[in-house]
Amino acid sequence: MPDWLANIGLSHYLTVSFVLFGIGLLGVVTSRHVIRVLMSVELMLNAVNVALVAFNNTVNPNDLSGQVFSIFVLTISAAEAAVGLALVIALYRAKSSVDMTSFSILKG
Amino acid sequence: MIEPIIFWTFALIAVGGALGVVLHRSILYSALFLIATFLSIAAFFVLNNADFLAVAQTVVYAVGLTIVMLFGIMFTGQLPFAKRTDGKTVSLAPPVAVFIFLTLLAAVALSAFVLFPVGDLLPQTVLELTKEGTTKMLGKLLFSSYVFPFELASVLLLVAMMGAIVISKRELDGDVVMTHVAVEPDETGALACALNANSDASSDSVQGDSQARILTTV
Repeated sequence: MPDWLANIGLSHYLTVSFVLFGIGLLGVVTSRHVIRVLMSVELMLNAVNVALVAFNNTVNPNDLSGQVFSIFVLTISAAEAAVGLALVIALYRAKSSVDMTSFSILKG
Repeated sequence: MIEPIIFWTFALIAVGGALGVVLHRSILYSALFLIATFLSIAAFFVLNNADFLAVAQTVVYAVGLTIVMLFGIMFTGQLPFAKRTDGKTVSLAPPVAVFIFLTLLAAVALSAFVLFPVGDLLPQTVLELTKEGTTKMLGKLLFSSYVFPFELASVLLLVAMMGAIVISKRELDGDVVMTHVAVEPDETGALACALNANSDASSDSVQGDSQARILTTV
């Protein structure tokens, strides 16, 4: 069994975090459904949480400040999801659509 | 030697679920893929000495937030949620679900009572910090060093809750929100007119008229 497969360290968690963040960013940029954009934002926030917790456990496991930051990220993302879904519902009521391209009326 | 197996399993599930969120055609399945990714990330938290965060992740993200997302999908979607025309998939799904459930039940029972005594199952890095977990230390930190951000977060949650209610509530009749726009509030309300609503209204001519008046006013 190769070493990188058997010994799980910080770099593995950071790689997963990076991959999840990249996929979330791809979803934010490319998807046309508004709720899918919100889900991709949540994915990016979760990737950040993985990085925070992995760093905390590796660099200074006796402090737990990284986990406190992660709790704040979780709180803020819950608030963001609530406001975002309220906006989606208001937009759907106004335009009867959840396609991102139908909300481009501010384009100059 | 069990930590790499757990890590690679949940890494595959997390990345696959994330790809499913972004790439799947149906938004409903995307939400279900999101649950898989959230639960895998909770497993990463367990592997990193963050047991409280793992539970919080499961409760807040994988259950609460996904249910809110599903509510949003079902409020706004015109999807065929109950598509039962194809009898093949319907007849295949319940045995698969029952099989997965029984396999998981057998695995949990076998590992918890026969193979590993509870405590030896987790790798050595987990729960090395304190035997009672991280909840106590997190609480002390939250109320000592981080008490100001903590209170700020509570205010933020309150503001977000009120904002969500105000944004998504239906406009009342005659409730003029944007008084500087010279449009008479019709059934959808003035804000909907200002947002150029082209549906949900009584007639298109009224909408076009009000839109023209908004343009001339602004």
